[in-house]
Amino acid sequence: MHTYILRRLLHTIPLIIGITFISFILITMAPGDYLSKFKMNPQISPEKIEIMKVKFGLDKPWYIQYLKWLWAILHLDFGTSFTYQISVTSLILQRLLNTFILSFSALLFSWTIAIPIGILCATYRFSLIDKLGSFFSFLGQSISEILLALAMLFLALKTKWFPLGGMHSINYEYLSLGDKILDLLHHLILPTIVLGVFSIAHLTRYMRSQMLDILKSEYITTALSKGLSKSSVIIKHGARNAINPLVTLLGFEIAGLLSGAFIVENIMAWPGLGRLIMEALFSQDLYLVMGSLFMSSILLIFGNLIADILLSLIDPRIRLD
Amino acid sequence: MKKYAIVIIISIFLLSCDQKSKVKLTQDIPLPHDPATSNCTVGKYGGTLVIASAGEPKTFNPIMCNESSSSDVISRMCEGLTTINNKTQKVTNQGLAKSWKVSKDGKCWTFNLRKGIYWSDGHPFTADDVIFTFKVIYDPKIHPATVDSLIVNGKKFKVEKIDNYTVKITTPTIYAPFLRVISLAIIPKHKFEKSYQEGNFESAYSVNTKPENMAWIGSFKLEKFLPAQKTVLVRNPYYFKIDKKRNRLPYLDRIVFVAVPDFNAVSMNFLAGETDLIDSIRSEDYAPIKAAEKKGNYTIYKINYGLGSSFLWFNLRTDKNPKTSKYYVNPIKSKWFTNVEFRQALSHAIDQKSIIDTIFLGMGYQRWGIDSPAAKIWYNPDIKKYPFSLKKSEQLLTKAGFIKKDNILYDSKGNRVEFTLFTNSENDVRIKIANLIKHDYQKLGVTMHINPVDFNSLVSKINDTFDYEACLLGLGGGDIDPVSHMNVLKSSGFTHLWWPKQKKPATLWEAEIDELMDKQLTTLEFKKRREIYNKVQEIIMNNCPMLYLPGRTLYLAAKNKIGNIKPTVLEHRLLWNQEELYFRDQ
Repeated sequence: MHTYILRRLLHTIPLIIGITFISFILITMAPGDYLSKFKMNPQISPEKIEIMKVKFGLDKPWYIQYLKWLWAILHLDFGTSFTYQISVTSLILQRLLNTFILSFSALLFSWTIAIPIGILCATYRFSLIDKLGSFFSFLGQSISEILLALAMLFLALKTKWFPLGGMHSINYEYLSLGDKILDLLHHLILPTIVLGVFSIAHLTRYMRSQMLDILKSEYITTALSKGLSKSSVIIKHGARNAINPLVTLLGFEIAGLLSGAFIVENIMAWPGLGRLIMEALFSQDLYLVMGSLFMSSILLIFGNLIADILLSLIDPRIRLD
Repeated sequence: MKKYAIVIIISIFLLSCDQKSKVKLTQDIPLPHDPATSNCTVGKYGGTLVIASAGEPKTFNPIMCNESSSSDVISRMCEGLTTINNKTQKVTNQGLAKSWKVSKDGKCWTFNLRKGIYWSDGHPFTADDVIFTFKVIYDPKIHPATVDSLIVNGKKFKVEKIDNYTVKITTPTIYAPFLRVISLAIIPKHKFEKSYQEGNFESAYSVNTKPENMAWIGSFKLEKFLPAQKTVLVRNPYYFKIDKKRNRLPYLDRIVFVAVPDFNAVSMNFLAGETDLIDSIRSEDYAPIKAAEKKGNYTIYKINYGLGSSFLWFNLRTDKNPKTSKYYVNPIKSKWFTNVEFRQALSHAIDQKSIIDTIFLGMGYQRWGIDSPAAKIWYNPDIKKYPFSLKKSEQLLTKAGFIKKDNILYDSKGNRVEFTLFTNSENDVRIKIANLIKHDYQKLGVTMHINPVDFNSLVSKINDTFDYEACLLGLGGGDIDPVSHMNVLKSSGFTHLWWPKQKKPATLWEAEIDELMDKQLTTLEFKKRREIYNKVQEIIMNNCPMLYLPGRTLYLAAKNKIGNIKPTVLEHRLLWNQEELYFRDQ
């Protein structure tokens, strides 16, 4: 086990270099740079642009910029954002928690709903429940996140039941602790639904088909013929085995926790990383983009590793050696 | 277990009792010796004004900010030696200097600062702050964007402290827009000096700096900044302005800028009643906002002429690229483009009214000239205009030797007239306008191809490689003083779009503009200066280097319960007199 983890960790080094290298080339190859937008401003002189260029290191060829960045990363220095003039780390940290809250709430929401529905659909195959479940999960998979987010905003505007985006009310600071929590939950409802719908839809399908496979297997028949009650067979023997492959999915979801909410955050004004990075991409704020890419690739790699380890803990048939 | 639960419940209860939403109206701070007096309607204290903005501050450093989402917020908290009254568009003495005198030669300005005024942390304001501000601005290592308007003929202003409340500024030559450019924000020496000496001035007053560690002199100060959520400004209890009844301004307790992702959200928040003001209603949002005007208890204000301009221009370079020794522009086409009659003909063929009706949904005005009629003290109404007339176009083209055969236009040497127009692909309004123009040009027999490319590529075409024939773009508002057009109008300017950074003016009329622009800069008397600038506007429109497109009519809205609302075309259109705004009794 230990050697396996060590090996996996060693693998990440070339992987990270590869990912960052390609991203860096792609960003610097795109036409223009952070300073392009200032060139058409009659109020900003070419001298000023030249000074900024030298200061930001944009006058050097891309490979020198990349090597410098890589060297700084080794010292845990993610560089300074061009736009904000403060360190990339502090910018990312500001928003990290907000994105995490939203993604975690969506994860919790989708898993607690999808797994029981999947089990129900499989147990009562071809019943009305199963048909409704199938219908909604196909619908959920085919609807686009953007459309759903806009529809939700429209709902909020028309009914006034929910806030129009954002994370807190204007008067948040003056609320009591209990009201603060309620206020946050109230703001969480719509983005959680939007972010969770796709997950629910495909997890339900996945759980259903896994469960159907298991229910057909011989040990279930044995358990039932021994006289165990149907519900205990399904929950103890069926669901536990069916859930194994889903743990791998969880690994991906951990990676997505911090990067999966771009669209929702942008439409529903959630103050998370997604908005920061989107703006950084548009303004070609090089180190901010690189910093966030670096972070999401690390999360993806570790998410997978954690999933593999979890899987070996749950399923004794899998050995990591 | 039960014990813990009780403790937790009690502590939650105690926490919920802790509320502090009212700002104490600190009337115990004595009024300054030299207050500024506003003659606005006397209002009443209290209330929080909420406004949504697409974008948020990237820094709170008044010297380093160079985009509007930061400066919109920062200017609420800053003051300069002079101020510009948005309504009259003129310089007033409502700023940090209560009066000033100019020497006979017009170069030496003495400012008398207000006595007994304080920064928001209670530190007194003196001439040292002014001296420090200029020291920072003129530091070549910092080189803020604003410094260019403070350098004349490559020379800095001489800024001297006479005593604690008197500052003398000497300009190298007579500098006409001096009082306007001197309205820049003064920064507190006691807060910035340390970071300046340590060489990290750029990151002082960043979005991570605690508001308690900042000092402001404007009517509001920063209370809280939550990234991607909101910026909260709270009244500055030390502000130096009073109303007619000697009440200290501002009336409002707070101004909150809510950061929303885009302009859709700005409109939606206003429609939902969550914000009190909207400072620009897009034409596509006008209908729903107008429909709810009564029910929502707000009023829509119309500003007939916006400041921003958009135009089409031809690449007028006639020289060769020294690297490839090829012409930048195909000499056959260059011959058409540099012909005034050709440009005038194509300007006459732009149907501004159709563009306004179909693309701006009727919310625009036909525009000619570098200045918008909104710049009322500078706009010259007698410039040559180019109303839509294909007949006039054809006459001009025939006069210039072009021949139309089978609906296709040929020049005198038999070359078919066609060219490619570039515009930026992010802006679909510009692409739509280009398509309308293309349609009318077809009637003249001129083929115009449209090639939308992304903004950054376009910038490099215009600035570096010059490999384009025609281009459609716009320039934003900015101040109305002619000094803000220097870089566009002078042939050596870097945004002299049709041929930037010329070593020597390429044409006689460009040489004449260069001369007049330099002359207006050293003419202190307004009337004379205006005469010179009128001439510049005329030359530009006679020679038509930029083919003007319609401008926008602006619409903005404010809730009826807000008093002293005075919308203006200059930014910030609704908050410029923030200290006078108040909530009426309902």
